[in-house]
Amino acid sequence: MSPRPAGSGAEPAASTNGAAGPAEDSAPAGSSKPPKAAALPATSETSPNAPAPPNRLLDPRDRRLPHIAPPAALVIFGASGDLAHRRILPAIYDLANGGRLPAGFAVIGVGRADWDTERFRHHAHSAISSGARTPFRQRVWEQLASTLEYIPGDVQNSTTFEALGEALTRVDSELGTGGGRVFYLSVPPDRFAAVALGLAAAKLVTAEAKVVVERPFGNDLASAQALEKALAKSFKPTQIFRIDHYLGKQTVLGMLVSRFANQVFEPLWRHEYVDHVQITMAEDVGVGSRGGYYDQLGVTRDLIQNHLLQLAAITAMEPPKSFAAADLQAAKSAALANLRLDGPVELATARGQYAPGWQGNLPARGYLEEDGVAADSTTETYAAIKLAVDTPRWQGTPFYLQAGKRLGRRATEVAIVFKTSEWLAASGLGVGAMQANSLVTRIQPDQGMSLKVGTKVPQTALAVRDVTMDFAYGHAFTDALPDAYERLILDVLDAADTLFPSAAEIEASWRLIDPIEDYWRSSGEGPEPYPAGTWGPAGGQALLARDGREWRRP
Amino acid sequence: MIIPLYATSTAQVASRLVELRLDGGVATIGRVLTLVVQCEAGAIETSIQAANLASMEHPCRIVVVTPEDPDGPPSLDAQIRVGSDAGASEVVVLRLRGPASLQLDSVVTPMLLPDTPVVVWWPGSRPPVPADDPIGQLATRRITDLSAGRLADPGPAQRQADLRTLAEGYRPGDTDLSWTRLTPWRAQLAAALEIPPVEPVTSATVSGPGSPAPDLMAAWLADSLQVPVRRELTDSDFLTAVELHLSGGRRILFDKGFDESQAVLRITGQVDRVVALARCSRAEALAEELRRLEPDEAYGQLVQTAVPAFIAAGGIA
Repeated sequence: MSPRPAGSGAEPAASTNGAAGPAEDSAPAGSSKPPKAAALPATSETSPNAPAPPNRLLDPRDRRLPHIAPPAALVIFGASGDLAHRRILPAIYDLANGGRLPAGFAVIGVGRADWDTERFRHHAHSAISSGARTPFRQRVWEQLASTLEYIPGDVQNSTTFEALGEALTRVDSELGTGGGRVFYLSVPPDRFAAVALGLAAAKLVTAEAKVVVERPFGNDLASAQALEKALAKSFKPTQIFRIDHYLGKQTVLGMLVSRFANQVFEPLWRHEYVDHVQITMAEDVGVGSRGGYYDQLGVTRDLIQNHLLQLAAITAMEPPKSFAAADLQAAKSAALANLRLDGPVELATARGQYAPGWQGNLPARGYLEEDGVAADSTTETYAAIKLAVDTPRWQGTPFYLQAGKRLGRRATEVAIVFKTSEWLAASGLGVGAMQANSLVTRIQPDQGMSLKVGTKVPQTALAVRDVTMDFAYGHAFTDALPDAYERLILDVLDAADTLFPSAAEIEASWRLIDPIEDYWRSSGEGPEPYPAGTWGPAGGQALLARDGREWRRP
Repeated sequence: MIIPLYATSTAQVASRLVELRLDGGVATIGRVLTLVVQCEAGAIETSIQAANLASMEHPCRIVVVTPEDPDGPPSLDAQIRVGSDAGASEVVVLRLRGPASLQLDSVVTPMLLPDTPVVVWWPGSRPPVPADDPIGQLATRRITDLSAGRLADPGPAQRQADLRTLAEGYRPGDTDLSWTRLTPWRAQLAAALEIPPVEPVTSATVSGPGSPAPDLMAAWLADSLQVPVRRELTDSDFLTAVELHLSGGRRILFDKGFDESQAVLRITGQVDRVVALARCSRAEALAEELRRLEPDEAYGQLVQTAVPAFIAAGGIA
């Protein structure tokens, strides 16, 4: 479960840096000025300096040894916000509990709430009590709490960064964070620029510093490019980590392995055998307290542009040369660039908005009645799109994507639906006797995989029906399935960027989404209402029905 | 649910397993391996508990087999546990008396899942050559626990003899939980060596009781770093400290003392750092073992090269 081969730190970096000429920093061991490159694992491509001597305790054959990241301070901008409370702080605790955090670690929260460190620790305690995956241990908490600090302040204000600079110097000397810095931007995208500039102006961006940004990566292509530009003023591309937590899910990694490691799947992973692909992300909740924010965005930009298109890219991509970050990102980028809307927007998309209804046994408000939502809002809470993949592999095999709130139940899955057997049609058993084979990767909840195959019905002469072969990962074991955020935070600390989308991927996604949004906005029509707790508007069903297909019920 | 089957046969147990699956739809989760546990009657419950937890990460059929009194009247008492009494799959307990208790491989064979790897775990005493043991021969991975049931400090002669059994009995596919429990320590030590300024290690000291895990830690450090390593005996039940002396005269000290959950990393000239370093439970260690079913070459190097060299150098005295 190590994010990378444990022995990678032991490989001499000389081979990769060979072209850079003779090592500049050849200070002898024991010299008073330590070689800087030693702060990083030797494989780091960001290090301009000479390779550190190989770590003799790391042996490539020793595959059980997890790699532990170098000391660092994690600075969370937006520390008093919702994401920090729900995800980041609990994940940090779980990492601490599992002994996965580096020795020499501190968390500095920066937020707009006018708190002191004591108040922030209290906040973190409640976040961990309600959100942590692993059991609460007083000792672990006390130790972690002693490394938490809080700086109230606005990111537009240079004094905030001055205070941060002082805090970083302090934790370096008091907690041994050794100059390692990770800046986690858990703030709305319109503040990225201010943070990036503020950090640079206060000279807090060291060569090894990393910056983490959360989706949404912009609202459209132009704003995404503007964000990239703002970050690029202060950070090099290798220092920027874009978190899409879906990519940290074990199942997404599992999808890569299931597809490429299995001779029963990979040869079939093409248009000759696959009829179509369905990617669904259904939520049972409404917008809750995010109404004001969500109303500006809609489900297409909130979920489809990032999560669903990433899942589509992983499903559609050609085999990457390796699972190394650069190869994987190149394969995904190429797949994204080859995706296009399959037909005119009005025929290749559907959108809806939830109306009052029943979510299970509970009555649910309609979207227009939610707090923070404009009474005449035309923001979509459901969207479906039909994509074509312009590669020989997927010729004529559409990818259908749908996402929505207040749908029948919570489920995210990728279904590969195979063509029906020609023999079945010819055999006289009837095409309707069974559905097509499908291979479904369930991403949440209930992570796992299922394969649907036809079998003979017992006690009949020769009737066929579908059975599902199912594999589920266990979930009760504490260390078994680290939360996606844990994995991603660990990878950022360790500068392992396999799981993070590149700027090129983000831009390709917006190129696909922008024309859809533009059309919807200019069409003068609103989204089609659907009762909460159902599987979306009729238009979503019609999108597939036009092609003689239907959504499988997740 | 626990289904007792008294004075039964392996055929009956096997068919009851199939029935349960057909009747109740139990065990619908995919299973990745069969874990055979050979232990004494007194260790059944604790072993099942650990195996059940590990099976949450690695869905498996757990077959517990306990040979009792080979001279007694022949009998087989079995139990099948499913649902909340099992982990992610099912547990079969086989208690044997009479001559069949000497034929454990024949008893276990019908219980193995088809075409999946077999792992055998001896929670208690360890066969001298696990791969030659009748049940060991059924398995590709064999997990022993040299620390189980050992005295706190049996003295240097016994300690050396213990480690020699690991070395002499080693066949690829073997591992021992006393090594597994060191993983969190080893990961922290490897990371500490990368904290600048990086200097070569010239010697090391490993403090802990006279038991296998600290001895293995010392042998591993001596072999990987190629430096002299001293063992310091402490009256504790696990490692208490590891100290690395660096060429510049500085030192890196991992000091856990008697703390249950954390250790202090002291590096000369730097501020003390606290790291979480909890004791690795038996279930966690077992789960770690089940993550990789191919031979652990690093462990092979340890017991075949590092351990004999460390003993020869007088490291265990």
